[in-house]
Amino acid sequence: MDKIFTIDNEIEEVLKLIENDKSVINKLSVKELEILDEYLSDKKQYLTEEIGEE
Amino acid sequence: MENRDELKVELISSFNYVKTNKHSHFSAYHIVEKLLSHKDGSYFERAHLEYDEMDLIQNLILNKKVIIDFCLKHPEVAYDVLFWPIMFKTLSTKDFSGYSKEQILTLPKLCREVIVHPENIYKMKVQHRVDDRLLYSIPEDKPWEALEWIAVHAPDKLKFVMTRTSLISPFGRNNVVEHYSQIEDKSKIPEAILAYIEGDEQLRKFQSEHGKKTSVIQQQMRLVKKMSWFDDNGELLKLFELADGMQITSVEDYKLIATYFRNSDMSVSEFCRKFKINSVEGFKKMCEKIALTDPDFAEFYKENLETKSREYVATIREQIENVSASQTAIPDMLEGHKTKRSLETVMKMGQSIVTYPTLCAFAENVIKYYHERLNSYDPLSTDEQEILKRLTSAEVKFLMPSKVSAKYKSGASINLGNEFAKPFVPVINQVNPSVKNMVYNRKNGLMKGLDSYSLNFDYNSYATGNTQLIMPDGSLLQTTEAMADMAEAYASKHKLFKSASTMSRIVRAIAEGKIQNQAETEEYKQHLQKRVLKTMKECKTLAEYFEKYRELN
Repeated sequence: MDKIFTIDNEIEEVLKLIENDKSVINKLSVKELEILDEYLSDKKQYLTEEIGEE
Repeated sequence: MENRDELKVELISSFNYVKTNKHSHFSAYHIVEKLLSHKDGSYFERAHLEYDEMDLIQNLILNKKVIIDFCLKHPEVAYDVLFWPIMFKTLSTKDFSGYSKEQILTLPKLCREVIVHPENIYKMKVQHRVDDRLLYSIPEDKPWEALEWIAVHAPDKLKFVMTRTSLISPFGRNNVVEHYSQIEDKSKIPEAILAYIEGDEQLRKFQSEHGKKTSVIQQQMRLVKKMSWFDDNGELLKLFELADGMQITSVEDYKLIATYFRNSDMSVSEFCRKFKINSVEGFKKMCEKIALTDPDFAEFYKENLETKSREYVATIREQIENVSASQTAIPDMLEGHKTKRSLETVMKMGQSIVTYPTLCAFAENVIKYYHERLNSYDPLSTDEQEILKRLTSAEVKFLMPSKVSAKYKSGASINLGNEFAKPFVPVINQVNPSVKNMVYNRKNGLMKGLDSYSLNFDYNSYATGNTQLIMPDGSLLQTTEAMADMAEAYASKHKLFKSASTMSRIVRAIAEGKIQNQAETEEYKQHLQKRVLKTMKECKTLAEYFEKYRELN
């Protein structure tokens, strides 16, 4: 990665890349993985709560 | 010098003792003393500390009294300790509330370097909330030079500095007017100071024309009766008690509390609530006593009482109505220094002063505004960061009353999980779904905004080699992505607070071979990769389920 992605759109772009090609994840740094990890766990929590409310 | 290994054992055993005996100041003090004494005169920021020692210090920071006591006992390092970035950011005026006038007056001497160097004061001004720390840093031997420097370089702080006739300020209206009236060549006086003096003279003229009607004798009789701080037995009056067993033992203590009140810009009740003062009436009596002998304080107190109560209801009602009608009214309400208080007041009083639909419209506009505001945030601008900090700390309380509280426990200067926000949750939930999604998105943006403050580690700069660190032997170290990654992994694994200074120490230690965690980093990376892939899959399943569910219903 040229630079650390920080905003939601950039994170979603990276997730799409990984979705299409799993090997992309091997190119990520610890910092980038930590950002993805935090983003995804928040997203999962949000979706779980939304389903619970519905 | 003591053997380093022995010292480490001693430090760790002392620290363990402090952990189990939380009130043992002596042991914590002992640790700080040891940490400093074995560094051959160097101090925290420059010392190349071991990592268990860093942990100790970070825990000690939670006990600011220990640090301040230490500074008073060891003036030769006090400047460095108090202005150590982590310490500096967390210190506030109330941390000095237990100290005598003489002790507090010692501090400016220790910190005079700050005012002498423009760069330092500028850094303080833009990076930290200056408040009373600016006053602490004014050197006693050349206060006017300092005042003039502030007038030119930080004129927005001039009024703050000049109107604090407190124990810690050498200024005050009378002194300022007197000093500058002696200077004949007015062109030598900075413009901002001149403007202040002229304004002050106008005020005095008005007061002399419309002033006191009560006779001097009557006033003096009342003064004698009311101004005493002691009861019939000669004991100091106990007007109120402070939280955490802090004792008021002298008249100076009362005056110090009054100074903090004056500087706080709060109403009496707000101040008592914030500092857990157990009697509002007693606090008011204290203010009345001080007002009798301090005209400046009297003026402030009268104005404070009159305006604060009216402000709360009338202004907030008008602001809620304005904001509910249009987002353009928001900056006036929420970008000042009273942001948090304004929001708290809305949360507390909202439904009792405006209608429920108005309140919903208010919530929606505020959420949208924050969303747009945070999206336009420029991370390169420090002033912008200051605004963001204010906005985000208010936003957390406003939008996320409970969810984010745990995440920032370690590094945050923000108190989360606010009771005030709870009544507001139903209002936020009623706002249309797109705004609710926005709230979710903002939470992520918000976390990253907060990261830039509380974590402050410039990973990019380290990873791209833009950071050069000075090693203990004087050589320059060019950092690499691998080093930055190893430091990240090390800090995550050891649950260290990722401040810039902590991380630079870790990177140094990695370069020196003191930390060898290549295998650990790789392991951590693989763990993260697995977790990311797993959570991605789970999110996809949940999203698909959600989509289907919505279609069917």
